[in-house]
Amino acid sequence: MIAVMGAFLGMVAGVCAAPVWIMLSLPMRITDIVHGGSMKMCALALTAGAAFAGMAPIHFHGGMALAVIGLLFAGIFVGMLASALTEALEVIPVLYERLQIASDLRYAAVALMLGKGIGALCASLLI
Amino acid sequence: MLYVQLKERLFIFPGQKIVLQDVADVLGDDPSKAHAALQTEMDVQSSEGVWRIPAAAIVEALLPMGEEISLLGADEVFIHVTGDKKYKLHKVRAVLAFLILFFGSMLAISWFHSDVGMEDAQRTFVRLVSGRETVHPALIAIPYALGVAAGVGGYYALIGKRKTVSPLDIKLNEYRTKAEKTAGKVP
Repeated sequence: MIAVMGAFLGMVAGVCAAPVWIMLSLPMRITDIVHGGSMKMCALALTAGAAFAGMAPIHFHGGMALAVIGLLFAGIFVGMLASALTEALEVIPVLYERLQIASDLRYAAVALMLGKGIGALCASLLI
Repeated sequence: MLYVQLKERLFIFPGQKIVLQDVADVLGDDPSKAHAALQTEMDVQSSEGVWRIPAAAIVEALLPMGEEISLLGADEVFIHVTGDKKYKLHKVRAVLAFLILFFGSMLAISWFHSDVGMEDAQRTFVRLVSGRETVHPALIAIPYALGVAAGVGGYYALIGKRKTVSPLDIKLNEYRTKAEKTAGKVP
């Protein structure tokens, strides 16, 4: 009985989490960047990742190297997620257009990359 | 027969004269006529702003040539008239925008981190994958922060040789098109 209830609770969490990635067009952007993969593969990866994280009370002894590599990829995902959220707000193109420096839009991405990278380092290191 | 295809937009200084060549491509059965058509002067406002030239105005300018005109594609072209004083402080504004975005995104990501409880999530992640309870914070922070930078750079197409279009350019284009539709005035 408890197992069945657990499965349904998991489904609710999964159904709520999945549309967020779609709304932000994240899988589409990733396949566009790597020029490969498919929506099916992205769905499988997102599902497997979420299911794996759901096993948090259990420990896997994969070693620290695996954790470091995992964190690197997790960081890439968070960076893309944060960028996609920023994009949804449409602030930056409007700022650059209003300041009449739209030709320098590339440097906006550089500023965001440095700022987010250093910010993430400080936030994880100093807290 | 003249085939006219309007361009999307044009940026000019106040008082700059434009000819049809600047706002449209023209092909014709008779190349010399098409060439002459391209040199037709267009009326344009000299005050700053976004101006719209409807296709009808272009047809009107070409009518005296007595050729049949066929219009392809867009039905209006937008002229952005901007004063040259705006170009003088370009670098200052670019630096300003860079600093806003740099410090803003630094603050935003640490805000996001405390908002979502990233510290706990990272510790859970490390415990789940490696099984270790205590690790040096740098061992978590450095690969993660490198990942964040790579993720943002990848998303905005800064990293990688095979260039895809940046979502920023897409948004800028969308914003410009919407702004032109709203603000564009017929001179």
